[in-house]
Amino acid sequence: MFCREQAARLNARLAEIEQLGARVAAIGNGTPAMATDFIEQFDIRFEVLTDPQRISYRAAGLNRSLGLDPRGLYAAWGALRAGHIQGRTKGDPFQQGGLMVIAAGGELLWRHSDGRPGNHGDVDRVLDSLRPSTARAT
Amino acid sequence: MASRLATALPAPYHGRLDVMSDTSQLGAVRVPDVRGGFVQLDALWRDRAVVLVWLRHYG
Repeated sequence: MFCREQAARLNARLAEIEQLGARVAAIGNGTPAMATDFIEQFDIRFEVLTDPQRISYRAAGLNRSLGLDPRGLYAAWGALRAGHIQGRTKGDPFQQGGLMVIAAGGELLWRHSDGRPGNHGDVDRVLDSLRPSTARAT
Repeated sequence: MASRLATALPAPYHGRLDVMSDTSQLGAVRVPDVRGGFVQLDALWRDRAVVLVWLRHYG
């Protein structure tokens, strides 16, 4: 449910991100067929790559954990209330997600490593990191 | 028994992302796309900024 929630949030703010000159790309960890199903089922409007061996997850230093945390249960309740139900797990159930905002050329502007299920990077922080520094300071 | 349990459980948090200062190592990683090809990640930020999101899984 959390990946559905995160994808829906990004879909909803995609125009704002693109207005700031950035693209969105997501990486999942199931098979290509699972990724295709995900794109079609949830009308994903950004590029989705899929990394079943989770090489990029390790390169990004993302967490892999059981994810047992009361805050995860609270986040699950919030996701359910927003209509994001839990489907069959398609990928590594222990792998946590994350987010990086990277400028053209490779400068890392902002990053977030999910510490537990539902602990997504905040889209407002993403947008703020994409704004010119003078705009961010005001 | 203990070693088997250790390999079955996920690795603990390590937080390397907090100290990552550049993206060159990440950029060299090639990731499959859904069309049967691969994308080298630095191609995503070669000409414009990218918001790169790693999903937990597709469920």
